[in-house]
Amino acid sequence: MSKSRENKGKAVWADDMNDVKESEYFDSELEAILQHYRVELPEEQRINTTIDVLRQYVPDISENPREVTMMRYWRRWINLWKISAADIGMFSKLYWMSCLVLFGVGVWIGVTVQQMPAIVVILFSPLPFVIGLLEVFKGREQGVLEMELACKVSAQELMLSRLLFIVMNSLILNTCLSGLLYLVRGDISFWGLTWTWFTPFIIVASSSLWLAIRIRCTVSSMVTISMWMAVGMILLTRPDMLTRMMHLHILITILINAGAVYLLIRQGWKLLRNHTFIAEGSLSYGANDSEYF
Amino acid sequence: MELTIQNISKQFKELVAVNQFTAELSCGVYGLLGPNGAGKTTLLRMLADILRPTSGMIQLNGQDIRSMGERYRDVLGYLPQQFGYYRQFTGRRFLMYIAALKGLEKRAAATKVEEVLQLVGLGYEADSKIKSYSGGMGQRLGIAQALLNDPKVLILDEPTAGLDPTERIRFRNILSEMSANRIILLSTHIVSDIEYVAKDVLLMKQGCLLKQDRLVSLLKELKESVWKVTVDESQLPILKQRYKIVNILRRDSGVEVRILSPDKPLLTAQPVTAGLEDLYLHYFNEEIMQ
Repeated sequence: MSKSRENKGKAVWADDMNDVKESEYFDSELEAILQHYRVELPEEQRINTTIDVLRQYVPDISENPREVTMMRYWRRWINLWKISAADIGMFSKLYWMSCLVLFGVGVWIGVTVQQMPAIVVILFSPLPFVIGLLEVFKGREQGVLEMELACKVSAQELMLSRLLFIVMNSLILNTCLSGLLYLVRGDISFWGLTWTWFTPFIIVASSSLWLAIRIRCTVSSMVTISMWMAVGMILLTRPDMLTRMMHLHILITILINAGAVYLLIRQGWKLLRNHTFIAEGSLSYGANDSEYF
Repeated sequence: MELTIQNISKQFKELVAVNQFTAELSCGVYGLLGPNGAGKTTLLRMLADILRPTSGMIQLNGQDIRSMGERYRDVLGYLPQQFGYYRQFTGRRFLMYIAALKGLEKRAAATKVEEVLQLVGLGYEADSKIKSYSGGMGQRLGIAQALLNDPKVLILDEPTAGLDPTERIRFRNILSEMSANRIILLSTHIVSDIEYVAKDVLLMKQGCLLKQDRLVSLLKELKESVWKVTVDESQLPILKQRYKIVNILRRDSGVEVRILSPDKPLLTAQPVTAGLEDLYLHYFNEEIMQ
């Protein structure tokens, strides 16, 4: 029994050996056959290019899509403010001079003329913004927009950052004017004065932006300033109107302000859409491309 | 590097400006030729990703340029056909501004600005206000801004308009030097610019690509089709009626006329080597600007 098992074991071992030899034989045969063929491998650079092209289609499962969207959103905002800060130096001297002169004249009239503080802040509040619009649209007005559109920082980001800057600058200037008048005069409420200028500021700002998107900004600014001056003349000759305006019901004032803020944001959005791409032959770039948004 | 234009079309209401345009561009200078209204500017704007095509796709190394976004603009240099400047800026300040928009770091931008100013021959006027620049200087500033980010894809729409002959030659040499590892697409009416530097010529008519080929191959088509003959002044009106006249040169011996015709126009006519102007006239039959 044990002998037959031993013999059987030897036979199996011999079979295994034969298999190995056979396998080695086939391997060498196969290698000899394959030697007749040459397999052309692509270059390393082409392989890398293919991988790069395909990478865009590979979802990144390690990242939470919501977090990624939020991060992108914040990065865009931070980037926008950075552009805005860097772009301040590119604002024209005319804009800075105008702001300075308006502020100075506002302080002077507000301090020296007894009855004037409310009218002064109302009349002066939207002017820095309206003049600043010239800076927002200067690329379009002076024919640089097409170059700007082809840059990494897009023209619409640039315009939005400028818009944000002029809004912020106007708010700061107007608040400073109110604060200064409050400190110097002492007979007026700071918050009352701020509330007084905010409504006309936001209404004029949103409507002037609405107009500037549609026609040449130089024209729209002139039109807005002229109309606002006319309103100023009416307010000066009809003090009862000003009193009525200042004593509007709080809800109505909030509604008007909300509507104007909505119009301003909507126009800002429209500005972005209109200046993403251009349409041949149109002054208002992007006017014919609305179907794409 | 490959820029692939796949069946691209652009329609403005009823007008089809570019129609099913397909081409493949690799490193080198390409000349885009076509009459006014052929859709060249529209095509270049789409290539610069500032105008969206109605249909079709443009790919750089297999990636859609629209999805590439900033990455495409990183490698793009673009000179529009018509452009303005912030005239209160100096040339240097304007270039620094564009460099900032192109995302260059301030120090790197200052070096690059100096480099491109020298390259286009504006170094001596860099700190003058743009409003004092001549037309040619403005054009050179435009070329300089396109080169700021060392672009791999350079799109130039009528770059030599307004340049004097010396500047044109300088510009052509710049292009030739740069073309080794870049795709340069150049649209112009000044055919000699293309003749000297272009690897391939793209002929465009009514929004469509008529032909894309080596200049030599295109000119071969006109073999035995361009003739020169000296005639009497009185014969000129008849020749004008019958043939496409490329050039008329008045000499003491008579009027030397360059004629484009598949058949020998006159017994005394001698065949001459065809040039790009002849080719232009052959395809577009329009007045050549030179």
